[in-house]
Amino acid sequence: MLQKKMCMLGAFAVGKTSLVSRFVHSVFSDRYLTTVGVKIDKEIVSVAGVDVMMILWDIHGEDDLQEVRPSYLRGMHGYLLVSDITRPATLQTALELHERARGVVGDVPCAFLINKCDLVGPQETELLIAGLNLPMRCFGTSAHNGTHVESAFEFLAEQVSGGSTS
Amino acid sequence: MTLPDRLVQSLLKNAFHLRYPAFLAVTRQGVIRQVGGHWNHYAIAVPRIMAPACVELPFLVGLIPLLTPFEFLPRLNLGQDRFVDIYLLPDEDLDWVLLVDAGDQSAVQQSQQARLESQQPTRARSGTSSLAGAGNR
Ligand SMILES: Nc1nc2c(ncn2[C@@H]2O[C@H](COP(=O)(O)OP(=O)(O)OP(=O)(O)O)[C@@H](O)[C@H]2O)c(=O)[nH]1
Ligand SMILES: [Mg+2]
Repeated sequence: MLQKKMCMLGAFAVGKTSLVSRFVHSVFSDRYLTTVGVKIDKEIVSVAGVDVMMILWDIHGEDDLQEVRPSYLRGMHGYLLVSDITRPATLQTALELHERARGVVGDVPCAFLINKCDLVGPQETELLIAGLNLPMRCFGTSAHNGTHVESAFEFLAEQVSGGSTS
Repeated sequence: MTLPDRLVQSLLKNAFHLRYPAFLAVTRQGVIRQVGGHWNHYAIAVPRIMAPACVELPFLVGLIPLLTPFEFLPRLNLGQDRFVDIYLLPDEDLDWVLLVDAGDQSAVQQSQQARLESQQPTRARSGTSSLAGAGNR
């Protein structure tokens, strides 16, 4: 089976762990339990009839005292940059992580997630995404109600394995 | 720098042996050639010799064959909140993978959590400031 390493990158508390829980276990919790180090999960996605095992690296959030180590990013095939729609600064953190990731692995597939869009509403989220003009595919997600969570992970799976999900 | 033998021996005994080291040697083709140490401590089935390393230990996907002279990956939570530190070292025709117990991380977890919670500008649920601009709701 194809195996692909994918990392979740972003500032603290933007919802990286919640997005993985939603995608892998279809659950959501209101409780905030910060990630220490890296939590590793697996999920199989079918891309053009071929099973791809995604090895998901849910990495601790970036903040002033804690930088994401390049060793965690080594060899990743793709990544999701996550920001929180209620905290504008997290967009910048995600873009900085994007640059760092490129420094470690070069140009590999990625997508930008603007999470917690349930707190704002679909129209505003769409307007915001259009206005941001990001140089990559962008999804307005909600780990809370599931909006675009599967599409985002499947998009990445597709990109890293060069097919389309079924 | 070369450490005196006495120090190396002491480090091995006290810093590493107490941390349940488990190791494997993986060929450049990704096949396990040698296995040893305390795998049972990590609630991981002992990796099988001759099996593909990335099938036995999926977290190695992308990391081996090693392209750098050394890698240290601290605090990998492989499940059930069991944290391991991972060291990767290339050798002539294979890579060494060493796992050691990273200990109980709950104290780190608590202090990190307290610090982050005090940093958070707005509680996620308040929605008073947003990328889309406040007052648009
Ligand atoms: N309303 C809402 N809350 C969310 C959403 N996603 C996550 N949260 C909440 O935001 C908080 C942080 O979520 P986590 O998933 O732990 O965030 P994280 O990015 O993994 O945090 P670190 O591990 O500290 O970096 C929790 O209280 C979650 O319940 C979402 O889509 N909508
Ligand atoms: Mg987390």
